[in-house]
Amino acid sequence: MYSEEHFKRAIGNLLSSTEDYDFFKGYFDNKNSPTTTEDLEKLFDTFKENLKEKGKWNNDAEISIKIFNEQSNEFIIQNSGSPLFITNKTKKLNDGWVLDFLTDFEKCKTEDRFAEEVRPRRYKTVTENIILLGVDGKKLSETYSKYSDFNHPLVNYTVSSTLYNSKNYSQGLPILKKAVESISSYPHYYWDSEFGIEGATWSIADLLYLAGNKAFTELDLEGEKYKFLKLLFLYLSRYIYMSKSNIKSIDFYSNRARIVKGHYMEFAGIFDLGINPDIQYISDMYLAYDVAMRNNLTSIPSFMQFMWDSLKMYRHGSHIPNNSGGYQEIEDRTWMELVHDGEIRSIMLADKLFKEFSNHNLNISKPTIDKIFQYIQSNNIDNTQKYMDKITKRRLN
Amino acid sequence: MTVDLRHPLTEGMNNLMTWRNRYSKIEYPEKVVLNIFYRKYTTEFMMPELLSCFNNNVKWPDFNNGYRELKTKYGETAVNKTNGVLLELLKQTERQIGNTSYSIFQPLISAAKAGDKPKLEEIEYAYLYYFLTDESILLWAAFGGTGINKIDAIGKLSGLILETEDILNYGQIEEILGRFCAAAYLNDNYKALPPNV
Repeated sequence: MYSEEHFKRAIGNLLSSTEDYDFFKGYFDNKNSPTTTEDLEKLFDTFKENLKEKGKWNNDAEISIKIFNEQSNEFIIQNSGSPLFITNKTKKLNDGWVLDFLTDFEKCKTEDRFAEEVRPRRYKTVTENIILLGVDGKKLSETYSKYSDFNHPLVNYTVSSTLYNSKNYSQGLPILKKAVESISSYPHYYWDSEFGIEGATWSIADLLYLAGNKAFTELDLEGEKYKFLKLLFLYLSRYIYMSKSNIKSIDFYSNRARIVKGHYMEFAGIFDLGINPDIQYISDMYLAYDVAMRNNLTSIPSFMQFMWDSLKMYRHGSHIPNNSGGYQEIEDRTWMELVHDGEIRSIMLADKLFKEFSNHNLNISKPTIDKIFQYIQSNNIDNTQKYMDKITKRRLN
Repeated sequence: MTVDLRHPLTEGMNNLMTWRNRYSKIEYPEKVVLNIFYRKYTTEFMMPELLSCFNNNVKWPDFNNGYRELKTKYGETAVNKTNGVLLELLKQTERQIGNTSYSIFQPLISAAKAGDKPKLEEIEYAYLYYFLTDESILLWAAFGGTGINKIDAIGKLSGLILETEDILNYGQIEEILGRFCAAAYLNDNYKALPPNV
């Protein structure tokens, strides 16, 4: 646990010898003052090299530096305006092996490609299709056996979504449930892991999709639905901010836009009075396009579409062009002003939700999760063979 | 209904994550066990003071004041009393401390060091279990300082009315609060750490 006293004691220990004091004084005099966690890591690496050169590097020195690093990270987080942007590497789960899992999962895919039309249609003039990739069930089972002990949300999400998307609910849902249980209450071990947050996000998104509004209404769990929506917004935001809007953030921005738009009334309440979720849609869709643009990906039509969706919502207040004047007239502000406002509001909401989460106010109990999954299971019957027959008719290769 | 131990559980889980990053896979199991006993010996050293909270006098007007006071004393006892003698005490591997001894953990440490994942989880679970139990004992004594008796204080924490002989030592209260507070809370809220790789 962090305390000012621990931090000061750690500094005292680190500067205990005159030589070490001279090293740090020299380092800071060269205008290297650390302001970020990355700067701190650089400082410790330089200090480590310095000790190695002097032949003073040993286990004690390593532990001392690690403890000081822990306290420094805590200090930065405690004094940060928004801890959402910071990854505490001293508390980060060692889950680099997820890359091996993803490689193994890629090997499970077959060459088969199928198309399935999105219904109901979102656009008047465009037909959207989901492209489904074939997966070898036996290989998938072997891959899952290899990694199931880790109970990692991204592993559980990836495997379970493959199963229930092929209408194999009885095997897919228990794995999704494990993913949801591991991240739906505070504290959990994945807050500082990008893979963990990614798995957490898509697990909750799929749970909400599979359950639908009906489950929460029929089970009298409206309050829990709000908690799930808040958690989803929080995890989407956490990924964007912790990854510093990396290339994957395109998905996170665009899905945050869709979630807010898709649950308009709920988010009108979550954002608080006076904030129009459509403005958040305008903002996030543009920001998704912006990340795509910075990564030279706007030649991909669906990424370019984000910009058009944002602009259409600004000019027409709808996906469908009309003569209403949209938010251009209602708000009397420029498109980019609204994008900027939306971005700031999203950060403020995510911060507020993080406070709620870390005060344990968004925790969802195991019995509640059990009920929701029982509902989903009883309303979705395994239908893999029939589904395969159906999509095979639209095989692409 | 049992006492809400969310903050101690958060602290315990944070500690485990920090130590996993701080120590090597070989060192880690032993360090966790060392910490279990660091806390346990500290609680035992404080036991006379904790039992003296139940002398029917009101020591503090508010339970929170008492808990804060006891936490401060706990920290001081750990640094001033336990820190210097812990390694010596652990050499007496069979010595009972509460309801356990270091010798029970030695095979677990060896197995965990050799890569036995379930045994490592057993150590991590034990750490959280004893952490929550020791915190519950401080809470129990804090209730005692408000003027209530030992059984009523257990009732406040566990929601249960127990018939038991007089509680005179660490082992007795550890068993009761461990079972009815820590284990009950972990049953609903425990999340296993993924295997250490």
